[in-house]
Amino acid sequence: MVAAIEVEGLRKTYVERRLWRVKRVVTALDSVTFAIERGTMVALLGPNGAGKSTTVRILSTLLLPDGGTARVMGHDVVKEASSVRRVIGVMLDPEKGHFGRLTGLENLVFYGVLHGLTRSDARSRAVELLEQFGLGDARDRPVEGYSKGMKARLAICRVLIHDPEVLILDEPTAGLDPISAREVRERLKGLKREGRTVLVTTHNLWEAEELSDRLIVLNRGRVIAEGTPEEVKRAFGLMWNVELEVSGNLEGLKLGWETELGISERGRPLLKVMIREDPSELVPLILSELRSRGVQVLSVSVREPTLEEAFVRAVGGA
Amino acid sequence: MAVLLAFFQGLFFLIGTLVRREQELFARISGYNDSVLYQMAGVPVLLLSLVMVSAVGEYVIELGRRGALEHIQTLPVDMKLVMGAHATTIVSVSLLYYFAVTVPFVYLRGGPGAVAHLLPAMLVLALGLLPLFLFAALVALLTLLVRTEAFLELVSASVYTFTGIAYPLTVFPQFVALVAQLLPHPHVAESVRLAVFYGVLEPARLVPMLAVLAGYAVFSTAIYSRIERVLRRGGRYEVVTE
Amino acid sequence: MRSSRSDLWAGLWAFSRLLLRSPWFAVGLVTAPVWSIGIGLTFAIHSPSLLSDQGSLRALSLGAGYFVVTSIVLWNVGHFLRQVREEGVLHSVIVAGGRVELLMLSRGITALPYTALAMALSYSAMVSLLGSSPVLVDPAGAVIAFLLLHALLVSVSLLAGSAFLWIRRPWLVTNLLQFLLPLSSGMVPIELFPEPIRSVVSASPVAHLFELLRRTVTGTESIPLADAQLFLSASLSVVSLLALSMVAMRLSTERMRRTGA
Repeated sequence: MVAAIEVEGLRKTYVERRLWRVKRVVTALDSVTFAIERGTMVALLGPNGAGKSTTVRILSTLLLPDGGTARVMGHDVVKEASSVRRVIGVMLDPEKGHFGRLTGLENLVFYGVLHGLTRSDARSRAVELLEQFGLGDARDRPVEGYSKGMKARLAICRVLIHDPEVLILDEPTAGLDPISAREVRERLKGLKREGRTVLVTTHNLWEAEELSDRLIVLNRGRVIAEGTPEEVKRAFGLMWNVELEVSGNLEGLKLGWETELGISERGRPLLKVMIREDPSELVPLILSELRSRGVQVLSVSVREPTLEEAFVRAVGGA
Repeated sequence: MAVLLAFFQGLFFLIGTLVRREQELFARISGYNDSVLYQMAGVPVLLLSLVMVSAVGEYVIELGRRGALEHIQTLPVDMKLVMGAHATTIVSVSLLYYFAVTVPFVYLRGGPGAVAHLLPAMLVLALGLLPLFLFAALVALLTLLVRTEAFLELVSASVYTFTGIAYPLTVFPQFVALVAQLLPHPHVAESVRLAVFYGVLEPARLVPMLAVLAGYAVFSTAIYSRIERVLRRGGRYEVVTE
Repeated sequence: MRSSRSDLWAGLWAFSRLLLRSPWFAVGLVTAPVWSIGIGLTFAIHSPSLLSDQGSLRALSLGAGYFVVTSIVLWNVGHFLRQVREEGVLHSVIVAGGRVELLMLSRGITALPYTALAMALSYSAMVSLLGSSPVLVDPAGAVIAFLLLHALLVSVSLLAGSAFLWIRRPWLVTNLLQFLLPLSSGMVPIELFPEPIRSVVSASPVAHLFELLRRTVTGTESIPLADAQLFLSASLSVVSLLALSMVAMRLSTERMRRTGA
């Protein structure tokens, strides 16, 4: 598959000055490299200050990197900014980017014309998008009267006005209520189904797992993990928790895995076994091992590691 | 803000000093013998008032935008106390500004004698700034009600032009001067000007000023409760600024 | 395919709507004559006979209108870039491939009917209040002179606007500029000033521009130069300032891309 976005050795440092004196130097990106295949949805994860927004801004041609290269659909974001702008749709803040006193339709026509559409083409495309995103009834109302969720949907319409192949969305569900956030997520899934390449940044790990084919985890300006959600969890060495309610003598019990003893909610002895491998293969082995030592197993539960645990481990330990 | 006040005061001084002046004609119109000193004594009062209208208005708008106004509303604090604290700060800072930007120009125009007159002028101003603050606070509350920042501009333009502080109101129809008397501005400016020119506190001028002050205090309190009720009923504390 | 025309067209289309829907437009038209009367009288009071001389009164009234128009353009156009940056529109415009300098130019163009109305109202109101009648000696010349004046003010505002992105108190600079620009170009009739000041003001191309407007509207002359000379000097200054402002906008946009501000 051909990469829609290719980033190699990207570096960016911000220099804060007070008059002519350098007050602070912040390294936002330190040799970041990744690639995103066409037609996939990828989430860029990381704590505040990890470099997500800087990456998004560089890919959107809004910010020049200090070093390294970034290409979108084969176009260099520094040298071929105009070509990049033709193929991307960018949302930096779901609530911003609109003229409050213009209607939703007028805002979209404005951006459509900026993208080179004729006014009538921009208008028909805008009407179509507004209908598709459930804003048909509100299209002639000034945007300042829209709710947050409506503004977010309008922002998605805005980035789609010129039918771009690549979408770059910085925290598209930030600040939205659960229903609006779900709506936006559904729309994003729809965009992926249409074959577009989508790069989203988010703080919501559950959302990242639900939406994305792949994850890129950034911390302190570096990529610390990359892959499918499962691969990322594995990369951080997270363990499944096999919890067994047991009866029998556990004195001196030693298994080939890391174990912990406790009491279950029902007051029974609880044996926790932490495993790194696929539990579907290992749990039967654990059960037969326990049986062979005369331990009776009353119940078994397997708890999968969450992406949040992976994230906290990765970021906290970095 | 100090830079801006000093700039305007300096600009008016420079223009007044450089242009060809007709002092006799000016004296016949205004009763004062020096048009530059006339402006140097009165214009800072006007500028301070405009700054108050804009600063208090913008402050309230900003509080509304950040949601702090609603937060203040929910606090168990007497609003008169909040207003009093703001008034004390603003009046003290304004007095300092007046002194700092007026002394050099009054000295250049009227000599040390006129500077000595600034002491009674400051006493008058200390009292006079209170109704000016109340006026500004009232305008800020009305801005919340009409929900557009442009209202501040309308008030500022009217205060500048129709209160007769930078010039006498003789060219306007008589009703303009009558309406202006309902505002605290001409009373305060005229009392300050008399003090700067003659070094006296004129009871004849002070009494109407104090009456207007009392009137504004009563009026503001009454209208505050009404506006507060309207705001709470509507629940919209944000003002459109663009 | 996108072009410079689409940038200009998009700006003209959107900004004319924004202007008409803004309460500032209506309030600005009401306050324009009020401010001009106030500012005019502030300067005239030192020489009250100025107000009884028809020619001087008209010249002063036009000067006061010039002050108001300067203020409108500086706030309306000069501060717009910063405002759209804060609203997140600027970024979206850049990503959409819009050329910021052309959009800002379209903002300046849409302000033209506003400034023309404000000037007409200010001039007529002050002249009428003081017992005279407004005149328009050379309508075609006045239109050309006003267009040039508006273009000059837009250029200055765009220059200031590109600086406003980087300075902390743009309102302070605007307050200073809105007085300094008209005063240094003959807003107060220069006959009232002593000779050295008259000579300095007479040499300023910006004063030539206002002189051109004053001649074509009121028929009074203050600067001893022929119409053609005034026109040439004024046009050159407008063209060079406009070019400079376009470059400044470009540089500012590039700086934004470099610093991420």
